[in-house]
Amino acid sequence: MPTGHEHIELRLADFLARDLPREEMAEIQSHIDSCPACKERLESLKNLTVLLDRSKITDVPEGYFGTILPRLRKSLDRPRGNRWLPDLRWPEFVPPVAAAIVIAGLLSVLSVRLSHDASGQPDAVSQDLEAEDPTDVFFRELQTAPLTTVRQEDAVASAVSGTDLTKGMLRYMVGETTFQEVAPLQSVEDLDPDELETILARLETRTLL
Amino acid sequence: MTDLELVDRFQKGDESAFNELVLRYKEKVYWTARRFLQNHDDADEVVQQSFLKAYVGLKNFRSDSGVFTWLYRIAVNTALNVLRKQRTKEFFRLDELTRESSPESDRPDEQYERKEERALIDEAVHQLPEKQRAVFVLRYYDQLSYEEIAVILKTSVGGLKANYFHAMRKIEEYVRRAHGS
Repeated sequence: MPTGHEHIELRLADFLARDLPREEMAEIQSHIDSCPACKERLESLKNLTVLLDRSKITDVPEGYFGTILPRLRKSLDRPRGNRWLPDLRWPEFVPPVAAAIVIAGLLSVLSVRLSHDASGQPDAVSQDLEAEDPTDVFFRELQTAPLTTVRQEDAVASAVSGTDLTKGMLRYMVGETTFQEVAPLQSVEDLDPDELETILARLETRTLL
Repeated sequence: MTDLELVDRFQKGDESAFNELVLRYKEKVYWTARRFLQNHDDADEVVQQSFLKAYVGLKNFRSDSGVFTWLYRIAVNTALNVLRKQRTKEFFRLDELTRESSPESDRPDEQYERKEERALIDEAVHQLPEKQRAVFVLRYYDQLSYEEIAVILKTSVGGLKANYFHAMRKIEEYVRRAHGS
């Protein structure tokens, strides 16, 4: 088993949490006792865990947990077609405004239908119903978005994790500019070498495109 | 009664068995989602969506993995989807990430300090890539074993250890940079 600094460092957080087998605990303790660098790393990690524990989120709206099951049951006990709709509570002004919009919409649809029926053109109502998928809109907008709207850290983070969003970003980046132009805009020095390699590979080979 | 017994009862038509599972795991699912997404409303959305998905999925659930692990996997995947929505909004600068207040303290200076610390940790976790973020939350806050996380995220234990190490180091470096040292 390798016992270098890297191997020790990889397990320091678990060592601190005392979540390692006894033998490994002893091995790491022994290394730390004779290695000032790892001892310093451990101290630094200890400070971080103190900060993490101190800033742990603990606040929840009062009575929240008691509402989870009743709201869930309300969704489940709805007619099947409505089950996946969220439980919305509208402000008071919304229903009358919505009603007015619906009436105005119906009237305009009716007038379009009448005019199309008269001219023999395709039915405008059925065209309206075939609205574009929001995801397609997102990716199309991404293609034409100026480079300045790309938040570099998000681009890098997403590139590493390989999400759908990444595909869009990379497609945009590769399509619009070269990696050499993009790279200085990313905090490349903040990346682990293996992460950078992944990004480079993805950008250069366009494997996600 | 064990989780599997509850699943069995539910599959035979006993709705109260599902309620019992919700009561058993609602807080765990919430806290995982909350620490992952860093705000209450998104976490609540994940809780509701996760249990709705579980309700449908439980009818065909097989005991290859534990109910708890299976539910966690649903919650993490749902949280990831919500996270992607968050990032899409940020990408187009349509919305700013909501930062929430820290628990109240009697001393205003201490309260301010806690708020600052919380915001700093939120930012540090926020900059992590998705997978490192998931591993960090499941390992540090939920204190799951690498083996459990491996089942949830469908990945290798070795890779998870490296992910956890990188996550901790990045958070540490972020905090250090913020403190200017």
